[in-house]
Amino acid sequence: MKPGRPVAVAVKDLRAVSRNRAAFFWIVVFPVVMLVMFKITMGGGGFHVKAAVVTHGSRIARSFVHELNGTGTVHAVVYGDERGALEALRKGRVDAVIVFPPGFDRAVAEGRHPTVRLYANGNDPRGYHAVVGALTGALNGLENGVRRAVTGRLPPDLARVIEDYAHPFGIHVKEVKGVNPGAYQTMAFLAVQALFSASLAAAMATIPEIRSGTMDRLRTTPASPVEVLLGKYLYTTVLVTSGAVLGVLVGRYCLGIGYTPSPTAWALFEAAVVSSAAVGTSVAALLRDEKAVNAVLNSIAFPSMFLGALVVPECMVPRAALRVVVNYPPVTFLHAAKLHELYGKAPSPAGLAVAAGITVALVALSGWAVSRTPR
Amino acid sequence: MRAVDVRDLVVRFDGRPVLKGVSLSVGRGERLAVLGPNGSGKTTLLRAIVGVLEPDEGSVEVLGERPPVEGLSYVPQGHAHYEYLTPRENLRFFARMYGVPGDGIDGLVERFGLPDRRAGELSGGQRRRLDLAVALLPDPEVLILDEPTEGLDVGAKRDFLSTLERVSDERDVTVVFSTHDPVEAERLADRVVILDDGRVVAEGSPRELSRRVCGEPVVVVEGDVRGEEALPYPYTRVGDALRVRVGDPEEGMIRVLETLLDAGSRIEAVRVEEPGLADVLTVLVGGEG
Repeated sequence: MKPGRPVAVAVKDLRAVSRNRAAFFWIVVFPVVMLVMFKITMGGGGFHVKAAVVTHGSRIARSFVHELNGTGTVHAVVYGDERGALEALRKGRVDAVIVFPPGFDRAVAEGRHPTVRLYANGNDPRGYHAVVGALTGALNGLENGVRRAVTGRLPPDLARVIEDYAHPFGIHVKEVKGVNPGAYQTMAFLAVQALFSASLAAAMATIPEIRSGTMDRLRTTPASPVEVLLGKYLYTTVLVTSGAVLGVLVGRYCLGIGYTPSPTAWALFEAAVVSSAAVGTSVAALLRDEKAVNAVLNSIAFPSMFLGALVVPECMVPRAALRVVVNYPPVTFLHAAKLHELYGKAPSPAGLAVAAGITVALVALSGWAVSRTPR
Repeated sequence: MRAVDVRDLVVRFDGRPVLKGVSLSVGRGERLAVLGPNGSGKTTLLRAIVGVLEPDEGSVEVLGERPPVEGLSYVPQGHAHYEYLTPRENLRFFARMYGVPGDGIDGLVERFGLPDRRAGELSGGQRRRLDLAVALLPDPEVLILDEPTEGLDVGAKRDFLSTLERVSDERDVTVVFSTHDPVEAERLADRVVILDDGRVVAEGSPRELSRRVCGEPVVVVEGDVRGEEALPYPYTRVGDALRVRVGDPEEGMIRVLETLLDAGSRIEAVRVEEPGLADVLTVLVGGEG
């Protein structure tokens, strides 16, 4: 084997892809766009709720509206009647409705324990829980304030006893910053690069060779199929890694994501790229049709990203699905990289060895598929 | 040692035989056309000859060895180069793959009139010339071309065939090409193999094949024709036209005209109808493909 030949194949493919705008967009630009999306949707600054509040003339409710609007995450609008507010909720004009019953202030003062109703739209289950969680928290704060105001009028000893029995323990919510803030978005971006771009880049570099006849032509040259295949892997790795580095730099200097993956994460990422490229090359060589290959690779990449909990929080993914999908070698590597970066968890050598073994088998499969006599 | 030697070649696709015992042999410096209709097995035969397709039965030898071998170049059907690279970049890449120095590339680019644009932006004729230039990089002894003029217009086809003819003469290279165009085969090939349904149905030089399959040339004489009974050749009369089957058209026409004019014929038109490969194809496979 002459090392110059794989390098020549890789340089040729890189030159070609840099001139193919569509391929360049999907392989390099699209993942960076995804990174921006991850930053916006997972960055924590995007949560915003619009709530309709029916006050029925309550002063407490009006002051609550004022407080809500000061939080920056909830925009509260006063509605005159419950029916109109609920209609606005059904039409999606507001995310939630809070109804203070008529005579609320007096009922509170007289200790009649009035009920505040909270409505939220169940069409989006995740959104429902987020909205209910946020507004329940705000209402709890209001309740605490009112309670303190009421008990403040009692003798201190009695007030303390009532406070302690009504609320036997306190809750203090505090965020613990991970060792690498921003790792979440960056690792999600790297998952897109490895699962989507790598398989697509390898496939798109293989199909035209087979369809145009250049692969046949190469097979009549002294270059061996192994040299050609190594060139394809080299090309994919260089291209996808360049895209990943570009994305990390964009994240760091344009999006304010102050995070750079560790060498361990990069190594696992490269393993995922090779593994994914082997899948892309095999599928391309077996199907030999651009549209079919795109469909198959997308239907592998996207479920892997989501069910492998690489672009969504792990708590959102069914355990059983994660246990299955994490065995797909590119996901194994990326999941291990994510756990390492987010929680400092060392990758399991046994798990990585199995994934590496399957990757070697996939590379061999791609070699067989490419050199297989097309009929 | 023959340039190409194929014996009893059988190739099956999913159990279905596509080549059913093909044998052929090509001498060094010879130009052989593999002629046949679409689906007759031409591409399969060429791919087996260059070694990208493994025979199910039989054997293939190129320059005395099992292909792929050094000294063999292959131009597949379509445009077998990279459309996002310029001709020069394509040639440089393939030179690396063939393991030959790239110092002749500028000469090839100039000689084949290849512009410095991406190959995908070149005309069909220019792209075919690029394919040929790539194939010549390793200075081959045997050149295999699959439907080299497919999709070209008349002018581009003529230019390409002239280039191929010139190259093959200058380099004394053995050329095997497939085509379904009998005119192209007649023009370029020393010998023709006609393939139909995976079998060789006829083989020989274009002239030999035409005579063997379709008979001898016919001199057609029109006008007030008299004295045909004195002709030394068999003839038939079709209306006002006399059709005379002659062995050698040049000598035959002179004798026919002398005989008929001596008998007082008033001849209005005379022509020679020589059967070609198109007629051979019509007789053997029922069409020109």
